[in-house]
Amino acid sequence: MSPGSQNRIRRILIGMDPGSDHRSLLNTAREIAETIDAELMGHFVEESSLLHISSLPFARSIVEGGTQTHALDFDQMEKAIKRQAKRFENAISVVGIETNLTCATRISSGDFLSEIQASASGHDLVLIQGTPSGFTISSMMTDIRTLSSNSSAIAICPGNLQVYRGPVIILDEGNNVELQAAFELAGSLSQSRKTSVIVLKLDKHSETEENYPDKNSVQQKNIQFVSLSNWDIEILADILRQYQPGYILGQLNGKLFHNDNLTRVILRGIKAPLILFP
Amino acid sequence: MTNKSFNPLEVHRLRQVCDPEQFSFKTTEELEPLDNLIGQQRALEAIKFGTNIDTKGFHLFVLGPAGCGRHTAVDTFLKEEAAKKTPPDDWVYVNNFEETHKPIAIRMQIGQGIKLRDSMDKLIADLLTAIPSMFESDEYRNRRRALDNSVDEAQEKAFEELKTKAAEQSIGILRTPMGFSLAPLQDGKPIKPEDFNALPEDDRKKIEANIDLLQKDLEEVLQKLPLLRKDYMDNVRALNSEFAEIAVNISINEIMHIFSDHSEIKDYLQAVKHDLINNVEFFLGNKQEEGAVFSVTDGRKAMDPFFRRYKVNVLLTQHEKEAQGAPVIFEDYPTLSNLVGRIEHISQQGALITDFTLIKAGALHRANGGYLVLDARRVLSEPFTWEALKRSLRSDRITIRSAAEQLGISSTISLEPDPIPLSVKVILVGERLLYYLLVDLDPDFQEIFKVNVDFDEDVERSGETIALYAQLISSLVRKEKLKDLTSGAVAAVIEEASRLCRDSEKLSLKIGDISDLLHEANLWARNQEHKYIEAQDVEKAIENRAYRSDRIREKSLEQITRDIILIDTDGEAIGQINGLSVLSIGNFQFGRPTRITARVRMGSGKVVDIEREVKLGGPIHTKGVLILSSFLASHYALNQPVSLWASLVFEQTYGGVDGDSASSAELYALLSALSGVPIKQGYAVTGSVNQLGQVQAIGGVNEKIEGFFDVCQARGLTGEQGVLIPQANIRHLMLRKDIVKACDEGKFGIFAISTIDQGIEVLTGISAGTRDEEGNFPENTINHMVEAQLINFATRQRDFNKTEKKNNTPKTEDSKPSEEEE
Repeated sequence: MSPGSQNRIRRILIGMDPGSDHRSLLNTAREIAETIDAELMGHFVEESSLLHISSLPFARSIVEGGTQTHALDFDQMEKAIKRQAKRFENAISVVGIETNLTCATRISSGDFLSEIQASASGHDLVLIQGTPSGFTISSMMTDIRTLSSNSSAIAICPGNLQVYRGPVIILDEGNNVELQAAFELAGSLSQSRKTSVIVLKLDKHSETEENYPDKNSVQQKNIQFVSLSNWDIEILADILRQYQPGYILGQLNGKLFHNDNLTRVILRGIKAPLILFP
Repeated sequence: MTNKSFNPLEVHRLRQVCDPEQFSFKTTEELEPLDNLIGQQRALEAIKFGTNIDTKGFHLFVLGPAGCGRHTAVDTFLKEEAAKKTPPDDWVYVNNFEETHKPIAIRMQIGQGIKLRDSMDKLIADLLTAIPSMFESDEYRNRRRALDNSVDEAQEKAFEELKTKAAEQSIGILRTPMGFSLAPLQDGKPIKPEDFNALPEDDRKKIEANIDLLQKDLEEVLQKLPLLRKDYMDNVRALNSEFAEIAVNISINEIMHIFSDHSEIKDYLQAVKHDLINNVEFFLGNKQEEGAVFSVTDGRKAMDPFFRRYKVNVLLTQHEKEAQGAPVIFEDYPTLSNLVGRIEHISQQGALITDFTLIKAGALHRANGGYLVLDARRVLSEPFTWEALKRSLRSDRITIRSAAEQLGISSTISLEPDPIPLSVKVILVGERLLYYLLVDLDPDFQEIFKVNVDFDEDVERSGETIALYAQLISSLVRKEKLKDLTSGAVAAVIEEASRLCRDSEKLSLKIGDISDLLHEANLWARNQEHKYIEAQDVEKAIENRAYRSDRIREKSLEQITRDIILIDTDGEAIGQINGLSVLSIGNFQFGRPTRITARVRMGSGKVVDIEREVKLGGPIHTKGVLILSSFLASHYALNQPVSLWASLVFEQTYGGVDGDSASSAELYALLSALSGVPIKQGYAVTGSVNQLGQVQAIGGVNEKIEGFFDVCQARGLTGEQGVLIPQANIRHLMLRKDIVKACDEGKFGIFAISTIDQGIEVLTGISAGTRDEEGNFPENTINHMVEAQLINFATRQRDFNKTEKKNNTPKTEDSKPSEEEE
C-alpha cells in the first residue's frame, strides 16, 4: 500500500497573504501533498486592510533592520501585493510541473480570514503561515477555529520554520476519534521521511497502546509511545525541541491549543509545522 | 703482385688477426665477468673525485660517445658510493593556515612523514565522530537551547510589548510586503480611510500623534532585531568553540606528544588546533544555520574538500626499515616539471584549482641527499629545464615554478611552496660536442660542472686488454642473457672491435655496438641451433649488418661498373688518377673511387681548384690544393718564376668536397700532366701531402681500400691493381678478409707510401729522381721531366711577355725597360 492511499486528506488549501513569504509554506504543502498524493490549491488573498492603511495620510512602513520609515502609497502597495500574488502563482505552477500533482491557484481581494474560510469548503487540510498579516491584530486560535469550521484540518507553519529530519510527533490528549486522521497522516509522513512516529501521551485517560484506533497504519517498528506526567507547557515545549520533530500533529479542540499563548510557546520551540485535526 | 721499385704490404699487416689459440678458455662460460670497465681509468678516477668532493659547483659532466659504457660506469659507481651514505630525511608539505598560497615545507626524520600523515588522517577521522558527539551531549544541547530560547524570547518580548502598548491605543502592527506598518484599528481591523476621515479632527490628530510615538518604538525594535541575532550568533560561536576545543584537545594532544621534539611540527599542530576550533561547523552535518542544532555526520564527510587543509603531503619518504643509503636517481625525461616538481590542478566547476596536497616531487627532490643522473642533450632540449637546473644548483634550493608561471601566462590559482634546501650531486651525461659547446657558450656552465669525466672511445690492443675484453664479453653475455661464445667467436668480436675503431692497434670501447653485435650473433646461433655463439655466427652478424645498410653502396658501385661514373681500373692515362673518398650515410660509411684530373699550360703560376671556384670545395680541400701548389713552386725550377696554369677537378662529383686526403692524388695527377708520363689506372690513391712532399695519414683508410677493391673485383682482379696509402696508416688497417685473401694471392696490393717520390714511382713505374750535386734531376726521371716542363713554361712566358710589351709600348726616346725585363 502506498503512503496515503487510504488517507482522508485529498485536497489541500494553501492560504497565502501578502505579508508572508510563501517558500516555507509552499514547501510544507508540497511535501504533504506528495506524500499522500493530494491536490493542491493555492489561494492568495490581496488583503484589503493593507490597501486601507496605505491610503491613510500618515501611513509609513519600516523594514526589519531598517533605520528609517518610508511613507506608504496606495499604488506602491497595490503593485507590491500584485507582485507577491504573481510570484505565488508561478511557484504553485512550478510545483505542479515538478511533482505532477494537480495544482491550481486562486487570487482574490478582501479580508484574508473570510476569503480563506470561503475557500476552505471542500478542502481537507488548510495550510497557513503562523503569523499572517491579519493574525497580528486578532486571536490566532480564534481565527484558526473559524477556518476549521468546515471540519478541515489546519496546518500552521511557523515563520522561522526549520527542516528537521526528526520524528513525527502525535500529541495525544485522550480523544481517540480525533487521532484517527492524525495516525493516517503520521504513518504516511514517517514512511516517506524514513523516520519514526512518537506518540506523546499527555492525558492519563489516553488509550492503552493496543487500543489505538489505527495503529496499523504506522509500521510497528516505527512507533513509540511515551507517557508524560506532571508536565506543563514549558516542559512540553522543551521536550518537543529535544526531539527536533519534522511535524507535530495535535488535536484542535484539546486543552493544549485552546489559546494563542500556549500555541505560541509550542510553535516557538519546535519551528516545525503544526497540524491540528478537528 | 710487385712493383718494379716498391713492394706491397705483407698480408699480416693488412688485418690484425686475433688468434683464438691465444685464449686459455674454450667458451666464455669459463670466464669471470668483469666488474670494471676496460681502459677508462681516467674517467673512473674523475667520477670518484667528483663524487667525493663536497665543494659547491663540483658537479660532473660525463662526456664521451654514446655506447661507451658511461651510464653503466656511473650507475655502478654511484650505487656503491650511495650505499655508504645515510638515507635522506623525509620532506612533507603542510597547509599554511595564515597564507594558504604558501605551503610550508618541513624536514622530518626518515619515516616520520608517513607517521605524521597517518596521525593527521586519524585525527580528522576521530574528530568527525568526536565533535558531533560532543555537540550531541546534553550539556551542549541545554546550553544551546538556552541561547536559542533567549533570542527567541527577546525578539518576541520586544514585539509583544510593543503590540500590547499599541493595542491599548487601538493600534495594530501589520506585516506588509513593504515592511512593518502601524494602523489604527476599528473593530479589531485596520480602519478604512473613509472611516478615519470621518472622525473628528481631534481624534484624528490624537491617533496620528500616538502612531508617531509608536513608530519610533517600532523602529527601535526592528533595529534591535539584527543586533540580537548577531549577539546570538556570537554566543553560539563561542559555545561551539568551547566544546570544539575540548574535543580537539583530546585528539591532538596525542599527536603533539609523538612529535614533541620537533618544534616545526609543534607549531604546525598549534595552527591546526586553532583552525579546527574556528571551523568546527565543517565537522557537523551541515554548516550551522541560525537556530539549527547539528546533526550527526557520516563517513562521507571526510571526503569534503574542506578537510584537505588538514592533510599532510608526504613529498619524500622512505620506510625506516627499507631505507638504504643515499638515492641515485636517473631521470630519463627531464622536463621542467619532472625535474623541479610540479603543482597539479584539479577541475572544479569548470575552474582549475590547486592546493598543497597537489604538490608533486621532481627528480631533484627524489635525489636530494644523493645523486641525480641526467642526459645532457635531453636537459638542453626541454624548455626551461637547463635554467631551472642551474638555478637550483646555484641557490642550493628547489623552487617549484611552472613554465606557465615563468612565461607569465598562468591564469589559474597557483601556489608558492616553501623552497626545499638542496644537497645533490648532479651527473650530466652527454657527448663531447655538447660539453665543449656549453663551455664556450654558457658562462655558468663551468662554475657549476667543474668535473669533466672523459670517457675514451678505444683502448690499446694488447695481450692484457684482449684478455680483459674477453671477460667483458662474458659480462655482457650474462647481463643480456645471451648464449656464451666460443673462443673463436670471441676472437671474431675482438677483430670487429678493432675494425669499429678503424685501428688495428686499438679496441673499441663502444660497448653498445659490441652488445648489439652479440645480440645479432646470438640470433644467428639460435637459428643454427648452435649451443654457443660461434665465429661464423659473429661473421654472419657482421655481414648481415653490412648488407642491411648496403643499398646505397651497391648503387654507387653499380654506377661505376655500368660506366655511368667513369673510373678506369686498368690501362694508363696522363693527368688522371683514382682518388678515394668516404661517404657517410647515417652510421654506415663506405669508400668510393673518384676520378681526379689535372691539366696544365703556360700561365701566371696559378693552380685552379675547380671545386673551390664553384664553391663545392671546403676549406680543408682548398688548403690541400694550396699546399701542393707550394710544393711545386718550392720543389722544381727554383730559379725560374712559376709560369704554370693548372686546373684540378674531381670528375662527376655533384656535392661538396672537403678534406685533404686527396691532395697527394691531385699532386700525382699534376706531376703526370707536367711530365707527360701516364699513371697506371689500376691504382687508387689516398693521403694528404705537405709542402715537403711527405705523404701524411688520413681517415677511413679501410673503407677507402674496400671501396676501390669492390670496383676492381666487380670488373675482375688483374693483379695490377692496388691502393696507395700513407705509411702512417698501416696501423689502421683492419681490412675485410676477402681483401686480405686477394692480396695474399697477389691479385691486389696495398702500398704504404711515405713520400710523393715513392708514390709517383709506383704509379708510373718510372723513378722520381733526386737532385745530384749540381742540383739537377737525372734525366728520364719524373722530377726531371716536370722541372723541364716548368722551365719550358717559364721561358715561353718570358718570350711572350717581351713580345707583348714591344707591341704595346709607344716608341719614344726616353722609354725605359719594364720591371720584369730588369
